[in-house]
Amino acid sequence: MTDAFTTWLLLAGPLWAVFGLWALPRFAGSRKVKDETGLARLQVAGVVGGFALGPVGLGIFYLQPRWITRASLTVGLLLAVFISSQVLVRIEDPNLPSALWLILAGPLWSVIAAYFIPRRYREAEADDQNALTAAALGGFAIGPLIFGLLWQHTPKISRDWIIVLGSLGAWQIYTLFALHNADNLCVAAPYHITYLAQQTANGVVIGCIYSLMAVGLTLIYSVQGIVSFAHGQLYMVGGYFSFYFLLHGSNLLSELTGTEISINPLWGIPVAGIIVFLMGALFERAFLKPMHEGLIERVSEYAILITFGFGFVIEYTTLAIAGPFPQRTDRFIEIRRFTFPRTQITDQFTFGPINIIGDRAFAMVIGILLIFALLYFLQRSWTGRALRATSQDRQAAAVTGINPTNMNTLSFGLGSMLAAMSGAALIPIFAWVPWVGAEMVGRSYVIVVLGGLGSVPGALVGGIIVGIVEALGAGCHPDPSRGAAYKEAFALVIFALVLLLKPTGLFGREQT
Amino acid sequence: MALFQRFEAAIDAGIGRRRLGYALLALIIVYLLWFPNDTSQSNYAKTVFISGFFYAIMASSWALLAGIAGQFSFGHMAFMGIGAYVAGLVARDGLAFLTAESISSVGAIVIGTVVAGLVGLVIGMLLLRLRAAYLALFTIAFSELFRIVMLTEYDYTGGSNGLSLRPLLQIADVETARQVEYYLMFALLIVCLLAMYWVANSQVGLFLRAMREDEDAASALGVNVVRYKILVFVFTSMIVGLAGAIFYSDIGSERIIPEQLEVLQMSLIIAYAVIGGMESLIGAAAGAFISRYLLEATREVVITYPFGLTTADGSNAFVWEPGAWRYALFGFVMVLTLRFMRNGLLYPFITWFSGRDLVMKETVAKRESDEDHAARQGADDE
Repeated sequence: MTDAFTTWLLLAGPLWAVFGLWALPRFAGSRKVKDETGLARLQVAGVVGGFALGPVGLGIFYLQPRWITRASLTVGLLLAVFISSQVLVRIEDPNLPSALWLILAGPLWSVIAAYFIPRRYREAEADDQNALTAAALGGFAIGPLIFGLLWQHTPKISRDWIIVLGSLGAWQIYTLFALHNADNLCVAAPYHITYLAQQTANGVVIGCIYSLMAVGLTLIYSVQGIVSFAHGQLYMVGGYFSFYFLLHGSNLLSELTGTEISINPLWGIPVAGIIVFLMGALFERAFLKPMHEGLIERVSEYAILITFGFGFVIEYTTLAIAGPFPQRTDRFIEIRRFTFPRTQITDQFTFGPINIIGDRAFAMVIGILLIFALLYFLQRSWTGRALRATSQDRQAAAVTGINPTNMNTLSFGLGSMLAAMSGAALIPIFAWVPWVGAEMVGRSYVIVVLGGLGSVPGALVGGIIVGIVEALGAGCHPDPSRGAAYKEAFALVIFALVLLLKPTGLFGREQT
Repeated sequence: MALFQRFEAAIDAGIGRRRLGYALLALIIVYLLWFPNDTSQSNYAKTVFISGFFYAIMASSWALLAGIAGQFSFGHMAFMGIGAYVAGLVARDGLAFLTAESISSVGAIVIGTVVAGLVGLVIGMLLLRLRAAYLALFTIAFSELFRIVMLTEYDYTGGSNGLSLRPLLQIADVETARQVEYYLMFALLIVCLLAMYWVANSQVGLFLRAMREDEDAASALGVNVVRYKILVFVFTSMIVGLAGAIFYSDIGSERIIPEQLEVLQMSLIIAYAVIGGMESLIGAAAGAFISRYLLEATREVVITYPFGLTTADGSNAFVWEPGAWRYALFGFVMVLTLRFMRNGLLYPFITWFSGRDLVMKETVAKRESDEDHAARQGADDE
C-alpha cells in the first residue's frame, strides 16, 4: 500500500497533471470554452485534477466542465497538498520519498512550470520579465502549487518573489541533505544552529573579498562592454607582486637597518594594485584600443580571445618565474585575547559561538573599504562621474568633453587593480600557486552574472550570496569530503541557472 | 622582393599555384605516412606525432565551431572527456541491459561518441539564448562542472588517478603497436578533416558563416538559425567525443584524467587554433600539429658554443630547460597573432597557394579603377 501510494505521488501524480494540462483544454475545451480565461481555467483544472485524483479527476472535469469553479479548484489544490503531506507521514523510511521528490519531481515541475507559466504571462499580456525565473524556482520549491499562485491572476513578479521562492528551494535542498544523513553537522541538534551561524559568517566574510574582485570585472564590463577573461590571472599576479614586494622589501630594509624587519602584508595591497593598474592600462592601450577604434572585425570574439590570451601569458610567465610551489605571506594581524592569568595571542576573533579567523576578517574589512572607496570615487569625483557617463552613453559623454578612449583605459586599469588588490588581500590566507586564478575567476563570473553584469551593488550582493552558498554547501553536504570537493560546483550550478533563466541577473540593466 | 616576384611569375606560368599547393600537401602526407617506418626515429617521436594528430582534430573542430560558426565554446575539452569517460565506463560497467563483456571496445567508442553528441544537443539547445561572452561563460561553467564531478566521484571515475579505457588494439610488441596507433590516429584525422571540410564548404557552411557575421540578418534571409546552431554543436561534439574515446583507448598507457579537462588545457586548444588560423580547418590542424611539435621539441634546448669554445668544466654546450617559458612565449605569439594576423600565421601560405590573393588583388584593382572611372565621370559631369 505504502509503496504504491508513494509511487503514485512521485511519478503518476505529476504525470497525470501534465497529461491533464495538455488534454483537458483540448478535449473538454472544444465543446465548451472558447475565450482566453476559460482556456486558462481548463489548464489549471487539468493540472490540479490530474495531480489530486489522477484519471478520476480528469474524467470528472471532462464530463462536467461546469464543475470547474474556483471553489472546486481550491478544494483540488488543498487535496493535492494534503496528499503530498501524507507521503512524509505514512512512509517508514523518510529518506527515500523526499529525496526522490527533490531529485525527480522538483526539477520535473521546474521544467513544466518554466515551460507553461511564461506562455501564460504572454497570453495574458502581463509583464513576463521575471516569469521564467519565478516559474522555474517555484516549480522546484513548491511543485504544482506554483501554478495556483501564478496562473489565474498573473501577478507582477517582483524581486521579492524570486528571493522567497529561491529561499524555499534552498530550504528544500537543506532538508534533502538533512534526510540523507542525520548525523550531518548542519542538522544534528543541538549544535546545528551554531554550525550554521559559523558557516554563514565564514561565507559572508569571504564573500566580501569575492565581491571586490567581481566589482573590477563589472566595472570593465559596464564601461567597455567586454568580459575580461584575464581577470583571474590578474588576481593571481596581484598576490605574487605583493609576495615579492614583501620578501625583497623586508630583506632590503633588514640589510639597511641591520635589524630584522618584516613589512606588514597590508603594504603589499597598494603596491600590487599600482603595478597591475599599469599592466592593465598598458594592455588596454596596446590591444583593446584598436578594437574601439574600429580597426578590428567581430569585436566581441576578439575581446574574448585577446583577454584570454593575456591571461594565458601572465599565467605561464608567473609559473616560469615563481615556480609551482605554494607561497604565503605573513599574517596581517595578531589578536590579543585577554584571559586570566595571561594574554593569549590567537589568530581568531570570537563572537559568542562564532570564530572568525583574524586575517579573513581583516581582508573583509579591506574589501568593504575598497568597494566603498570605489563607490565614492564613482559618485563624487569628476573622473568617476565621467566613467559612469561613458558607461551609460559613449557618444553623449564624448559630446560633453569626456575622452572615451581614456575612460576605457582607466576602467580596464581600475578593474585589473581591484582584482590584484583582492589577490594581495588573500595571499596571507590561501596558499598561492600560479593557477589559483582559474578557480577564483570562475567565482567572480558567477558573482557578476548573478548580480547583473555592470552593476556594482549587484557584485557586492552576489559576492556575499556566493560566499554563503559555498560555505553552506560545502559544510552541509552529507558527505564532507565530497562537500569540500563540490564547493565550486555549487556556485557554478547557480551560475548556469542564472545564465539560462535570467541573464540580466538580480540588479542588471535590461539587455538592449 | 623582386626575386620572389620572379619566382611567383614562374610558378604562375608553369605548374600553377594551386597545383603546387596540392603537390606540397601530397608530399607532406606521404612523409607522414612514411614517418613511422623511419627506424632512426624513437618511439617518443611517434608518440608526439600521435598526440599532434589528436590535438589537430581538437583544434580544427574548434575552428569549425568558433571560427566558422562563431560559437565561442570553451567546453570543447569537456565533450572530448564525455566521449572518453563514457566509453571507458561503458566498457567497464556495461550499460543498462548490456553487460560489460557484451560490449566490444569499438562498441564502447560508438556509445561514447553518441553520448557526447546527445549532451552536445542538450547544451546546444540551452545555448541558443546566449551570445558571445555569455556563451563562453556558460560553456566554461559546464566544463568546470563536468571536471569537478569527474574528479569527485572517484568511486566510478577513478578521481585524479584517471580512468583507463579498454584498449582498442591488443598488440604485444611496442614498436608495432605504436605504428598501428600512429596510422589509426592519422586516418582519424584525415577522416575528420574531410568530414568537416565537406560541412564547411557545403551550403551549411555558408549558412554558418552568414550566422557568424550577423545572426539576425541571416535569420531574416531565411536561414534556420536554430537548426544550424544545434547541428554544428552536435557535429563538433561528436567529432571530439570520437577523437577522445579513440585517443584514450588507443594508447594503452594513457588514462583520461580530470586535469585534461581544465580550462588551461582548453586554452591550449584555442591557442593552437588561433595561431594556425581560426577560419581555416587545415590551418588550425596544421597550427596545432606544428605548435605541439615545437612545444615538445623545445623541452630541452641544447645550445652549442660557437668557435669550439668550452666552459671551465669542459662542456661545449649549454643545456637550457625553458619549462613554462615555452608556454609563456607561445601565449605571447598567440596574442600577437590575434592582434596583427587575425587569420593565423599560416593564412598567407594558404591564400598564396590557393591563388586567393590573386583574386583579391584583381578585385581591389578593379574596384580602384572603377572608383577612378567614377571620379573621372564625376569631374566630367561638373
